[in-house]
Amino acid sequence: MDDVLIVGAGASGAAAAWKLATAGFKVACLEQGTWVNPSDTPSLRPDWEVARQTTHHPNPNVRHGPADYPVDDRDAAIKPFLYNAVGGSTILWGAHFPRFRPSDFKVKTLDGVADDWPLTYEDLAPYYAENDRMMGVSGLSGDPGNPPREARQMPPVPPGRAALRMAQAFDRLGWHWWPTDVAINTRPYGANRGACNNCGPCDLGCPQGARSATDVTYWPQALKAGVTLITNARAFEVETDSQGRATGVAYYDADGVAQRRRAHVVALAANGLGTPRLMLLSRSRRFPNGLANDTDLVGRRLMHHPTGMVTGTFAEPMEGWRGPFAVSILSQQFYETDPSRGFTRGYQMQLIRSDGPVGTAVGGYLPRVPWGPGHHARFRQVFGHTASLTITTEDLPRPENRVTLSDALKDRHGIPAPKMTYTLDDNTWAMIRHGIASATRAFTEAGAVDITPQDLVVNAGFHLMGTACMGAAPATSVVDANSRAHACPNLVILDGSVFTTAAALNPTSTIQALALRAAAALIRDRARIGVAA
Amino acid sequence: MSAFALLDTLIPGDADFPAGGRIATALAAHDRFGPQLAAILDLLPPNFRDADPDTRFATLTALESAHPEAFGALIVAAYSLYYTDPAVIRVIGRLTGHSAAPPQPQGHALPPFDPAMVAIPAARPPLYRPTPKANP
Repeated sequence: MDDVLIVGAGASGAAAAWKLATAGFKVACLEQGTWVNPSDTPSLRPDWEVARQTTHHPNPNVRHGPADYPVDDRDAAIKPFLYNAVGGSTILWGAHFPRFRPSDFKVKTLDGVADDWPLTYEDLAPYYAENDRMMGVSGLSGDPGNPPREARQMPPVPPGRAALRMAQAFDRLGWHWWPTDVAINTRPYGANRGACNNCGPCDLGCPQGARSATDVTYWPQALKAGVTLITNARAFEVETDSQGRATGVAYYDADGVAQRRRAHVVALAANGLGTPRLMLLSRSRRFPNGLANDTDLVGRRLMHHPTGMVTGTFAEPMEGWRGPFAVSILSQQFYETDPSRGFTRGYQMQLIRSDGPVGTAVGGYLPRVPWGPGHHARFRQVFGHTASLTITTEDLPRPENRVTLSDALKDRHGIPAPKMTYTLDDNTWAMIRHGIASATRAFTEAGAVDITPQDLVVNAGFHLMGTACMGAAPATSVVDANSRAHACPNLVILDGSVFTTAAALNPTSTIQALALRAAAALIRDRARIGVAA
Repeated sequence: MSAFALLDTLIPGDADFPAGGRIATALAAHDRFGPQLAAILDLLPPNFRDADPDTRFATLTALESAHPEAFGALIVAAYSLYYTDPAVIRVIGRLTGHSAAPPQPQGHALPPFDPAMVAIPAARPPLYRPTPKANP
């Protein structure tokens, strides 16, 4: 029997597995995908951009990979963006690695909205630091937008032409900006991991091992510490005893045969969609509405980071294909609440470099290049001449935004797919409108000759949060401050499902810090956790 | 073959770039993209190949309006193969300096980060809000 059985080998599952195994726990992990060999990246092939439209598309409903499950997104304004493999969605991420701000944990106290987290930034800070050391962070101390902290492991990524231009524009406007914290090596760091060579498409994988993904950071060390990792294992039920305590996980193995694995503690790390899906599938006499779902909160409060975008086209070439596509500089000028703006909470603007030829033609940062006469003239005008600012907004939790089990779609094992039901509220739309105006002003100041806004990036469901929320009170939350389910104390939830609120910042470093903190609490409370008989 | 006419109409050639018809065979044979091409070919009128350019353009405009999803899928397919075609990539390289090689393993050269860049923002006062450190 395992001490801890983790479901999901992504950002959080890998971090917790490493920490627990290093402390002497017997740990196993079930992962529905398998290993992705970084040397198999399409970036080594001439048709690399075709992969982005097919085998490496971020939406599992388009990608149709063998490890993927479908997502019912008919009623979702934002579409799913995730990956299933050892490493989870860090396999295709852009590696933004900000920490949440102290105010992000206190939105009720400070702004009277949503709920405070049952922990503070200071509670989490040591685990952020531990995680930074494991993942490796490139960035710069001294950001006035965030509290002082330890020096990053490496200097910032090269800014490139567009970031130099936009930084000067922000300076003239008197706005905050700073080099982005990123989980990308700018120097060799970690075992067998080299430095970034600025190839561009981090999302397709990194044969240099420069872009941190947990398959190259945590997992090698977790395996060395004795973790048993079982790939091609699709969990379909967390099993419980008559008292409602978790006893293990049932899953389909690589041959499609149902298996059962027992454990003293079960930890879910299957992301904000997969975790509530598994909890809702795990019905029993004690939990007729799904595991630890006495409050009907499992699956509710789904939060994304609704994203607007503004793209500036410059007369001069920006050569935005050089450098990691998603990261260079950011502005948090409009991050904290200012009632005069007409919305509560705020947003961050992140500068994105530009696309390759296919990405430019099919559109994304800009509308698709029109077909027919004039096609190549438009292509010449925009290719390599653009940069974009994303407007990453703070999504406040609402119960009607939720994950349920689909009545229309099933995966290849016949398991109901998760269904996302999601709309944006007026506060978020107001934030996006303000962000578009701000970004437009910045591009105007920078001298862009054409500025194109995009209200909502639909394919931006990359941050899945809140669907098993953390709180101090069992009546209004699913897990406690140690990420343990109120109603099932030997069930731990490690992924973004536990977020009380979403902040307006990329969540991975916070997800991992919370997972390390949850693991540390398990280590501390080892003898006191109520496990099944 | 209507596929050549279709793709030449979608992506006309010019002084630098070849016309889209050069990818017709590869597109028809592509495991993911072939069906997108076939779906639109099935909707073309029989005389499409022999029509003049203006008529072809008008026909495809009407088709895009009537079948936006299928037509959009074909555009993604056609642009994906066209802009990864070696001859097209060479043209882009000649015009812009974009490397004709895949992104890896060479990557791209970029000047490193210069700390002098942050002189102005680093001099600003803290922008984050103070918060109570203890939970109520």
